[in-house]
Amino acid sequence: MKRRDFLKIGIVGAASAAAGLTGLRGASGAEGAGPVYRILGRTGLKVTVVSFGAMLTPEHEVMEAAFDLGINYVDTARRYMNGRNEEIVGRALKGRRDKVFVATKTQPGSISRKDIITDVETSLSKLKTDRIDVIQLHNLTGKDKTRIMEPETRAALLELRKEGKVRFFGVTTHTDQAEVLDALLADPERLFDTALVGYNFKSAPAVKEAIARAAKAGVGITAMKTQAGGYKTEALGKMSPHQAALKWALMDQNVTHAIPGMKDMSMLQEDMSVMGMRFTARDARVLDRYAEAVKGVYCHLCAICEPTCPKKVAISIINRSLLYAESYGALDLARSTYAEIGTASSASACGACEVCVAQCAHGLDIGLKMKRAKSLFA
Amino acid sequence: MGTRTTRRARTCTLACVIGALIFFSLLSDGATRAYGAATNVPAIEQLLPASGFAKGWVREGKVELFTKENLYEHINGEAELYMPYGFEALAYAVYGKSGTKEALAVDLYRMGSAIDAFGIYSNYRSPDAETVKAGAEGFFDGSQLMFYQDSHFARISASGEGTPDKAAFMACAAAIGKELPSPARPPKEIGLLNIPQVVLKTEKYIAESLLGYAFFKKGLTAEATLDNKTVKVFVVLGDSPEAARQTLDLYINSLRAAKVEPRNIEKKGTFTLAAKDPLYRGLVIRQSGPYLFGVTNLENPEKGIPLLDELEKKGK
Repeated sequence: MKRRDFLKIGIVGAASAAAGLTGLRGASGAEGAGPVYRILGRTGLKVTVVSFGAMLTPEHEVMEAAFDLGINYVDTARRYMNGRNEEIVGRALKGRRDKVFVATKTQPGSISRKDIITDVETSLSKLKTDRIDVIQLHNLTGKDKTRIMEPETRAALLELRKEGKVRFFGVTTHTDQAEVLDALLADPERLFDTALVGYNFKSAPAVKEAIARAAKAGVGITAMKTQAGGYKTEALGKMSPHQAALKWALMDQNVTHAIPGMKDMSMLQEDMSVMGMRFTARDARVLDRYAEAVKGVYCHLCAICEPTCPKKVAISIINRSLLYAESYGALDLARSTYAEIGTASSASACGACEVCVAQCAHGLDIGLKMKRAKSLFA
Repeated sequence: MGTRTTRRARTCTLACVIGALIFFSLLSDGATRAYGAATNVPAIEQLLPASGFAKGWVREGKVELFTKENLYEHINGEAELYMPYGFEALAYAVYGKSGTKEALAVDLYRMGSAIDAFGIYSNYRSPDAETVKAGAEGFFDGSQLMFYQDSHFARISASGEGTPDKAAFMACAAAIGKELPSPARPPKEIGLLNIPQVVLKTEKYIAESLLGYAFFKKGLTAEATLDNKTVKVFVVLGDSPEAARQTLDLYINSLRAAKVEPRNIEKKGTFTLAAKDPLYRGLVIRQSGPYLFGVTNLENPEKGIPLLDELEKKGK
């Protein structure tokens, strides 16, 4: 029996035993039957729709199993585990380098030619490879999206490509994703070919729209943070929104693939089996239920609502205070956070309004939350 | 009827008051543990060094605090690595050296326990890094110094232009260590791997899915040398012998589901399970009290048994 077949049997059986899952590859056999591929924008790389987020994986053997089962793209970063994560990926790539595309990231503070080159050289050494398929500028936001146009950064990347050390350039973004994606499109040279974007069923429509614009322009989109916080929902009984959330992200054809973090074989099985599955009405119900479960606590803290409040109440900080008190049980921290807000911007300023007119882009009842804050912190 | 209603109402009110008191006492208890408002646990920001921990070094700006909810704002997706280790809070500050552009960024994490602090530290430690005298254990790699002490993990990184000398890192670490709870020694669980064959500085504590198996909830791993080859030893930490036995059953089931039939090796009344693990090739595993001891990456599983015997002695 070949190792791949052995793992295939093992992964299905082991996960059944460990995770209590059924219908692992779809009852029909047509769904989730094996790797499914999409093209990563203008890079032309043919990647598995479920790829491997390595950040949380301490055992290279789990990654080896993923690669042997057909996952062909792995994402790591210079920063994770102080470089140890790249070493773990390097071990898993041994003997498999030609079958797997490797993406890593420069350090968030690296801008100068010297820093970018040092980052890449160090990554090559840790990964024990002679090339990186996608090198990404780490964690861009609306405030520092200008890093995209930084002449030294760009010159260093081009130099590294000329030397054959990197193949394609990308960026990563968790915050202000739409702004960052639009900045890529505003680059007349279109230097960056990929974007790793925080994207899930709770994302604002503006993110989805920006992804569509970027994909249309040939930017390969990799989705991360597909789980929307991963809040615990035990109180509602057995509910596993993981697969549904992953399917939701992949349902968007403008998303090339997702990189869920996989720590163990049961996670690997759960994620692998999503490939080729359809997003069903049941998945929609699971996500609705999950969204409902976290509705009271899941404030995006985006502060988009604040300009809509005529009293200039610090809504996002107040919501954060409520989160500390109600979700984490940290009343002292909640009070100290709330105390940072001046009286004029606190929930007590709401008293002057009969009806709350502040609008939450994500449907939170702001008036109700402010009332709760007032009674809890007054 | 009216009396019964009033009595019921009084009973309900009393129950509500007691319930509320319990609720808020639990809330405040959790909060003080997490954020250091209790009398014997200093707030984490107070543990960062003041300006002057070494000549010319001055704290720049405010101390920033991060919690479970916003840790990702500081360390991006890496935040997820910290959660299984009981992350509670992080204090962050930058120090600059007067007259230079040198700077040190200090991250001080409060984790769930001493073994958790060791666990997160062990994710970063490289066997090749220079060991330094800081906390229970520390290492220095030229631009970063990391150490753990009690339930805290500290990461000191060069931040400005140029790299400060090692003495600055050491002085900063000493200033933090002085404020942290003593004694500065490793948690007792690490002693389970204290056998001569274990390669020093490869010990790790994994708080979730040891060896990549979800049913091995938490435990220790390390590299070891056997017949001039590198193998991996591990200890699954259980809460009781019964729980350990159940975990072993889960492992056996997973092997059988993968069409692997483990076999029992009996020697002097001790039972050891041997199998060809799908991920780790030859493997031997044995239950002893609340622990499962094991050796993997073996060509011949039986050769791992002497190592298991030594590990088991550490668990007695």
